[in-house]
Amino acid sequence: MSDVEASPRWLDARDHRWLAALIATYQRAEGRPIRELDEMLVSPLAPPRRVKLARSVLDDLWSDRVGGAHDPEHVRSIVFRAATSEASREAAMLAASRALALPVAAIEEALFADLPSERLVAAPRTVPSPADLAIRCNHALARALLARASSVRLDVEGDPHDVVRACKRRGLVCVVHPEEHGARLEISGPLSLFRATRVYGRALASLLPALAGVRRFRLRALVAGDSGPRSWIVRERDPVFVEGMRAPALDGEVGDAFAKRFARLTHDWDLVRDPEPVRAGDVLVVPDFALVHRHDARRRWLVEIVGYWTPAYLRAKVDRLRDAGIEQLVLCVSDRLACAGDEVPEGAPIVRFAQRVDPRAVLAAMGDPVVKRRKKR
Amino acid sequence: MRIDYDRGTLLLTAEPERAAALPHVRWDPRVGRHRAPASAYAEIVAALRDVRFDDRVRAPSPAPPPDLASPELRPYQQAALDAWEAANRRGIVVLPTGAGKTRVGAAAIARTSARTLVLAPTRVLVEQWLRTLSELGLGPLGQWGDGKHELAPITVATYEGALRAAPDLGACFELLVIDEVHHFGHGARDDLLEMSIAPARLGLTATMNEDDRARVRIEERVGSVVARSTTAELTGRWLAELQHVVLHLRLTRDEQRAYDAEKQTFHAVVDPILQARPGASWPEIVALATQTEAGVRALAALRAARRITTHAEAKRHALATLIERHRGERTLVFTEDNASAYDVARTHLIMPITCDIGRRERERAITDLREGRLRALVSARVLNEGVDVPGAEIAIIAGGALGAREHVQRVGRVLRPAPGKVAIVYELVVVGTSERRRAARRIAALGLVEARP
Repeated sequence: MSDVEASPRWLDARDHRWLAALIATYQRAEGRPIRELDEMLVSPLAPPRRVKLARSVLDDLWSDRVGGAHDPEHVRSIVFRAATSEASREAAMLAASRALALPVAAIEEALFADLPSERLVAAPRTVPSPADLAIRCNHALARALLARASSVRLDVEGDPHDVVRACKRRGLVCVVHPEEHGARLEISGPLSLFRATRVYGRALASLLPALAGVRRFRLRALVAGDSGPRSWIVRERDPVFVEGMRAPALDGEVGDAFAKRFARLTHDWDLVRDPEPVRAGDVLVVPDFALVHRHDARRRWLVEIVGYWTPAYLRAKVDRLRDAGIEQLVLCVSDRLACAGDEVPEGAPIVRFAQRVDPRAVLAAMGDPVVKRRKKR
Repeated sequence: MRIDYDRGTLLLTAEPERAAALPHVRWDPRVGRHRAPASAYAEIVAALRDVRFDDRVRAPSPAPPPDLASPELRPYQQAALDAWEAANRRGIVVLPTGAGKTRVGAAAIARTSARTLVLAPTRVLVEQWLRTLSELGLGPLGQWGDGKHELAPITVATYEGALRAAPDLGACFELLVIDEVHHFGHGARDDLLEMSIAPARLGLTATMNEDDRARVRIEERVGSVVARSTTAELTGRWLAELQHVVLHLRLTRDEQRAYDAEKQTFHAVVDPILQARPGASWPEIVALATQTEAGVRALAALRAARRITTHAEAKRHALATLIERHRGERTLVFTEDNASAYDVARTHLIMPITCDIGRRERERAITDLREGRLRALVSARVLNEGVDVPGAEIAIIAGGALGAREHVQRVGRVLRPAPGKVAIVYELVVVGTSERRRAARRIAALGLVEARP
């Protein structure tokens, strides 16, 4: 990681005045072409980069529509064909006017009414306040920084489960180092070992919502720039989370489907979501479920659904678990996410799956293949 | 020893000393294994030729049939293919637009019978490749990107689609055919080439990148230029006869005064940057300039100066005269930017082909031009690359921002040969502005010598 650290200059109360002016300009432009909105904003309200950021956020919230009652594409097809056969512009427009049964002025108006600059500004149902807009801008800025990052170091206080799973689902390499009150996560992509690459930027940026539910964190995003690498810092207290934002369901369909099918399948085992992580050497293993036998609590197995994998990765993982004395852990590996080959380490409790994890196969891997079906009521 | 593919890289399981001695390999403490970029696959396999190892790298995807028929090639195409073969099936072929680059690519696929990924910059070009390969009897064909995810022995993908899936696709192909390869050499796209194990690589372009550093990076990942033909070498026989006419125009006194003022604002900021950072690339200059208010103003002044030359009165008059003179011929007008293209479209009622016009409408317009329902098209960039516009005889180049590469591609739009065809390219150049210098470079890129006015 670079020694050059900086926090982004987040938009805050100092910016509310110009943000309010910007919102008011968007509101004034209601029903007018986007070109006119651009002209209204020629004089910068604030440093151009900040205005650009705020405009990109507002452009996502606002929409636009094609003005007029005539289909520009149809009008164009008639007008430009007429121009091929007629000797002058005037003659072509008159010919098109006859063909379309429209006055020339209406044709002129409709000709390019669907171009981005000619579309009409349409406000959203709820217009954000300057404070809301500032936070949305900060969120966009934080995501943009992550999207340009080649690697991320994340110090998390408390439970890092959601973030670790988010990394796993996105094919990122996440090394978890346990700390006294949480964990340090080193997150990067495989190719990052060789050079600063932005190929994982999209995956890294998508981690931000997962941090919304983390009590305390400090994120360092390493970004390579023209003037050398730089680390950008984002903390839980920074104004980057839009109200109501929640971490997405990171376990996704596979985990949810497994939990449902497992509950339907057996009376004998309880399924516990997101159990405590377990230490394996110098890293943490973060299982997705714990399966605990109802009549014998010593029979407690952990289940981890593995993201992208290779045989070498699995072997290393199995060795690490074995070295740490963790034997009651079933690894579920997706055939779809296999990177190469088709062999998994022998002698390890590994369940392969195509679309869904079969609870029967998991129970079989745990040495409990005899399964009773729930009786239908 | 064992080698696995891992999301764009190779993971090596071996004694540390042995693995560390291999090319491009590094120890990855994150997973406790040695790792190399996937692009090092061929070199690593060569280094292990006397060693038994377990190769788990290649994904089990189907190969094309071994008896693919090679398309018939012209002599210069055959020479290019032979040079590529001689360079161990790596390298770049530079051929002018209309000279049949796609055919060279198809011949390379047929010659190698390898699982092939063809990379093209846009969906339109992907569809064009699929059409050509199908017509030449090559297949089975698949398409990747823009919502399509069909893996086949010969798959054609957009750059962006392939980049998003690079961790998954990297072990699936042995040959990469990279159309318009000059788009590589910087940024994330290079990762696409690094994350692929493909030992055979063929780059195709009409002009190589003008940025030396980008060119070196492309050559490292694809290979050197193995064959090159210029427009001047091929016109008259393999391409249409070309008349290249440069019209030197002047700004009005008021325009010139305004232009000089804007350029002065620009140079006041950018000249010191260039003195401090000699050889800095344009993106670097922009990055440095945008750090200050004065720099932002300087860049705005440059844009304003370009607007003055783009909309110069003399240029508008010349354009109107030429469009009128060639009313009976199929004409392509090229402008500096989309706004200028719409100006031309509105004033002269010429159908614009820009990124704002939907694909269906663009395709219909190109068909209409081919079949005579339209007499002209105007475009800033969309017609620059690859799009097949047969039959156009006249090109009017009213402005261009992308230099020699863009120019060669634009000129190529009217060079597709036809019996007795003489293509005319008009270039409108405002003297006393930076357009003059840029025009000289563009003409040199065609292999032509500019006649003195």
